[in-house]
Amino acid sequence: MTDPFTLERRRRAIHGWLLLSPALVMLSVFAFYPSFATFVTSLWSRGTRRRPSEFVGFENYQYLFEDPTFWLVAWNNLLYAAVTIPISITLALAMALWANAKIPARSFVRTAYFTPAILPMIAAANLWLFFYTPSFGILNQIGGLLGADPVNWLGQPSTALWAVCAVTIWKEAGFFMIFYLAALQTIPPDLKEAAEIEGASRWTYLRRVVLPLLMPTTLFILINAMINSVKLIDHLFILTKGGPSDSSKLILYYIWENAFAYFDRPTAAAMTALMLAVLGALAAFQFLMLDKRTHYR
Amino acid sequence: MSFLELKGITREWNGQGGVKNVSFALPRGAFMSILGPSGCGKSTLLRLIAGLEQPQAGQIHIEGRDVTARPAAQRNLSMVFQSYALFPHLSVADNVLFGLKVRRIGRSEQVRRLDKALEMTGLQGLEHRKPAQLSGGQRQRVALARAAVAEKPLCLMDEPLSNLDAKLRHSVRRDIRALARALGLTVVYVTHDQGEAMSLSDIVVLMNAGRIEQIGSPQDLFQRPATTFAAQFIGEPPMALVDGPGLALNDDVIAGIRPEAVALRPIGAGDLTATIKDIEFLGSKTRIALTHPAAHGLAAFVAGSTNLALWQMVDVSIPENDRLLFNAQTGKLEKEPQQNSETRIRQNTASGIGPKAPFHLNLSTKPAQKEP
Repeated sequence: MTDPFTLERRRRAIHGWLLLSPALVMLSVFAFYPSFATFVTSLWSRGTRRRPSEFVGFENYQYLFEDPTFWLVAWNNLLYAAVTIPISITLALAMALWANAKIPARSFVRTAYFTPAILPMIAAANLWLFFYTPSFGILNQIGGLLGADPVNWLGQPSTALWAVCAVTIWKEAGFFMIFYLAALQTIPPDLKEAAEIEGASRWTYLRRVVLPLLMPTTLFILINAMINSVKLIDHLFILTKGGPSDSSKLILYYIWENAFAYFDRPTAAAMTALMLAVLGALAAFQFLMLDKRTHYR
Repeated sequence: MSFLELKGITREWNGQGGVKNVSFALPRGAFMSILGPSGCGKSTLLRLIAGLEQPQAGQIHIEGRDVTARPAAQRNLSMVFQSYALFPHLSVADNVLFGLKVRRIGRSEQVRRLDKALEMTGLQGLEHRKPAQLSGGQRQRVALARAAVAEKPLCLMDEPLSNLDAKLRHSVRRDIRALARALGLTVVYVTHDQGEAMSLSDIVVLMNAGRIEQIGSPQDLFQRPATTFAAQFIGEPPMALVDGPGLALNDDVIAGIRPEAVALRPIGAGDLTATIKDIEFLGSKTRIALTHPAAHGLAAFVAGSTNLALWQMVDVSIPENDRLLFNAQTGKLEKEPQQNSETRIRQNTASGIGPKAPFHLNLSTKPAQKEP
């Protein structure tokens, strides 16, 4: 007990735990416990006044897999991610490359690109609601000038999801651009000069030097974009409420509906648990696989 | 026919900085240093030759071709950057081969040149390392190998040794010289270190405030500085300048004297009576820094150590034969030292290859040795 070595070790251990505790407490309360509780909830049946909830194992998951709406929503979300992520990342990169070049009114260009990112989601969605409004919305007015028939962008199943995608791309590209811009500014200009002297064209320099050096940023943005694609809910409230006939419904909106509109908490919990598992697997894949091929300075 | 020729090159930013009306010619295979204090435009001049900057006036000819309007890639040259400019995500081999891959040179030729370049720079076994895993000297060698592998006749180097420690600097310096000889390169080498410039080059271009102060062989610059600026820049310590009246000369001349020629004498037996300001023991000799109202940068060497004391008054003799006389108004050299055997046998490699640009420098103006 009084051995100074043991005392020192104990002192260090206490020190370590004290340093760890703020993060541990916060994460436990707001991340680990809710995830765990969600999983537990998903294993119990929906309780009513007459029938208290009981343990049902994976029955909720089974119902979910038999629910065609769930599959439609999952498919919608996949399409949504597959469209918005590559387009917004490509746009962000193109805008960053342009805003990083020596152009007139450079800070104006940067600010203009970033503006969508600082608008609150709800405000941005309202803005686009005006654009999409049938007949007198801006899009249809422009279309009308060109002689096109008015389109109810948000009101028909064939265009609703794409209209939502467009809003997301518009909003995310400017935000991701800032990350690319910051990363581009850390690339020393003499690399470009060295490549120039070696006879590399702009395209070769971009492909062989800039893009590899931007990989850590791309990876970061990719993970963020992926998380955002399942986090999207506020646009839907304003723009479509998931309609028409579920054509623009995404997973988080469906979870919200189940939990707070239908008061079916176990189903919502099961979906949440599935979503967490998929997201966790994706993040693990990205960090484990892509990290090896990424150069960090 | 000269290999590299600059005619009246001017590049300024809002009328300041940059280079003004620079002309010189360089024969094939020569090693030329551009020497000068920070901010004198020497890096700008190199970037103009490389094609990374465009001149506002003048022409650049390489191998007889006017390349003034051509981009860097078409000037048939390689360049070593001060920061090395290695691609951090590529291995040593890929860094060296970058240019060859861009130019789509055959695989077997790539391997041949890579092996040769790595052997010359002593980088074998490090092919797969990333630049971050290399020491400063190794990174420098990769940059050299990248320039060597291009097999271009002209190689530009922008202060390639400034990021290395003193010991490494000496060994890489020798490597650069050997590499240039082995490949028959014409080298333009920018440096602020006169030791590098003097030891490496056949021709030194001394620049000041965007203009050429003097062009010549290292011996020329040392023995016959064209201006007071050159006199006060070259040599360690540089030449001392003494106002004419202090040595019983006219007041329109300034006398320059190498500290090696200055001798200490008992009071009353020398030309000037000066105060000892500083004593530096250097091992085989001791450097004595002296102050005198008429002199600037006066110093003398004493063999071995000394028992002189600080603030002691001593006389110094400034032998007439070793004096250089400068015009007090223009700062230009008027009279060379006489009976200086070395002057007579000096290598005459660079005489007459370029104009000696005039520059006005008063004694009161201290040479801008370092930027503030």
